[in-house]
Parts: sequence; C-alpha cells; structure tokens
Amino acid sequence: MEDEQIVALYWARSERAIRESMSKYGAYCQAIACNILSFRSDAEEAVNDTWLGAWNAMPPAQPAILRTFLGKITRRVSLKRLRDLYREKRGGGQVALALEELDECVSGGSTPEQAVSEKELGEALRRFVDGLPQTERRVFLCRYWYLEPITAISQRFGFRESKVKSMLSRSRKKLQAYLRKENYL
Amino acid sequence: MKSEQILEALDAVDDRWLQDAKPDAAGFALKRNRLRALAIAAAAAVILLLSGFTVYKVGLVNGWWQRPSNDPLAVVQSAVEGEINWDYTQSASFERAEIDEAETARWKSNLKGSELARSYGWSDDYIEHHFLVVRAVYTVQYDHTKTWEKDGRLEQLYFLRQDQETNLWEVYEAMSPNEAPEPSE
Repeated sequence: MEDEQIVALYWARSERAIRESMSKYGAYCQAIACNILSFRSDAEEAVNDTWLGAWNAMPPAQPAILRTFLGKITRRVSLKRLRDLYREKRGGGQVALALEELDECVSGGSTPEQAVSEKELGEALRRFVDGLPQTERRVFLCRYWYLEPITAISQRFGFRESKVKSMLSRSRKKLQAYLRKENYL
Repeated sequence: MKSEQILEALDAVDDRWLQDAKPDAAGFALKRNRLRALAIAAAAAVILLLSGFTVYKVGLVNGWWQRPSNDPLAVVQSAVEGEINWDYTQSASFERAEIDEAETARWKSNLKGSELARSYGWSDDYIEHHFLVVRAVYTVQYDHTKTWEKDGRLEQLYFLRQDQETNLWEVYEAMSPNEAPEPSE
C-alpha cells in the first residue's frame, strides 16, 4: 500500500492503518529499536509504542515521508525507554558507545547543559548534517541517528572498520569545531 | 553540554538524509534482476578464468560497486556503471573519464603528512606513486521516491588508490557530483 493511503487510514481512524504500518515498516522500526535497546522484548515494546505514537499523532500530522516519521517516533520512544532502563541498570549497547564517542565533541565546553535549548541545538545539528559530504553524512547518520554498530556500517558501505572509525572521528572533530563556532561550547 | 543532548537533538535531522542513509528497510538492497545479472557475470568470469584470463568481478569495495583493475579509467567506468546495483538507480550510462593531473597534484599535496594518511599508515612516497584523481562524465537517473541524490548528466571527481599487493586501482573516495558542462562543438 502507498504511504499516502496509509496516512489516509490514520486520518480516517481505521485500525488497518496500524496493520499496514507494521507490515510495511515494522522491520525498519524494529531495527532502530534493536540498535538502541539491548533486549528484544524492550525493542518490541518500543515498536508497539511507535504505532500508538503514530495513531496519536495523525491527525493532525501529515508526514511527507511516513517511513522516517515512524522511525523518529521509534527512536524517541527507544531512547526514553533506555533512560528508564539506565535507572534500572539495564541499558548500554550501542547508545552507550555512541555517547562515549560524542563526549569528544562536548569536552572542554563551558556552556551549562540547561542553557542549551533543545530546539536551537536541533536546528544547529540539522544545518551541520546538511553541510556534510554525502558519504560522510550517511556514515554519521547510520552511527549517531540509527545507532548502528560500526561492524554493520562497514558491511553496509563496503568499508574497512578502520575507515569507518576514521570517518566518524573526522566528523566528530568537525562537529566539535562547529558547536564551538556556534557558541554551544 | 552533554553528549545525550546531541543524540536527542539529532531528532531534528532532515528526513531526506535519514532516507538517504538507509534507502530501504533492508539497507542498500539489490534488485533481484541485478542479482541475476551479477550471477551471470560471475559465471562468465569463471568461464574466462578457466580459459586462462584473469578476471576481477564487480563487487562492493569502499562503498562503490566497482571492478578493481590495472587501468584506472576502467575502474571508474565500472564504478559509474555499478551505480545500477543500488536499489534507487534506474539507469546509469558512462560517457568518458580522464586523469585530472591538477586535482591529482592537489589531492596528493593535501594528503601527504595528513592525519588521515597517518591513520591509514600511508607514507608520502606511497601517496606520491599510488594515488590518482579521475574526472568522469556520466548520465544517471534515480528513483526520487527513494533518494534525493542529484541525477542527470553529471561530472564527478573520483579518488583512486593502487593496492600495493595486487597493483590494482580502486575507487576509494569521490566528491559529490556536479552538473556536467555541455560538450563543446
């Protein structure tokens, strides 16, 4: 079924919208959740919450790209679930590693965390990603948005793991310089 | 600022880049007919190999579908034609390629002594004799429901590296393509 038809089903409050979403994008959302959450049961729960999130969001939302709209809900739900699990000492996985890597970008900064508006930072990161060269942008997003393991990224792009690590390291240095220039650090 | 804030604010990244980083649920999936074509090509390669010729197959190397070769221009041609193996490519037609001496000199000069070169263990001598930049012109059509990559008649710089063990050239990186200049009469 075409995305426009699925969105129309949400707007018509037809439960078939959820079945069609699961059938078309269930694997995509599951992959995102699994990268973030170590336990399959947690990931499944996050994907189920995605359909509920989509149901609550449409209407009024009318996403241009349904796939990434659902993916963003899954990512948000999974990160929130992970925070809860951290409190229960069950987190870790790729998020912990990605955070460790991103720590490089914020080291040496003097801006207090509460002073940074999430919306403004989001806009700044959006501009940063817009400006990255194509291959670097793809690798950066696979790591820090989709939170894929480096091994999986190297297989996806046919790069050696050392090349992926080196590209990510360059991107993080660029991000640090960018955040500094934009007065976030 | 904390790295968690970066991870969460990345939610604002443009949907088209998320779609571009992972064009479908299975990643960069091959079209079935392309798989069949590759199987036929592999069978032909085996026959040629048994006949005494050395044939290198098209494969995903450094993120490009390409056939490493002693001839750098032939490698670039294979990389252009290899575009057809991506799920979002509708057609790809190679026009011409030439070694760009000025860009080669500039690239080597940038690379020598760089952090990138050090991370790969490339000496200045190795860079001097085993790197080339090739300028290619080709025409490609993409399915824009799957990717936002620029298509049409394009010109692109490809960065090639010669493997020290096999002496074969391979595409190792490329600039984003630009619209190709009109051919002069």
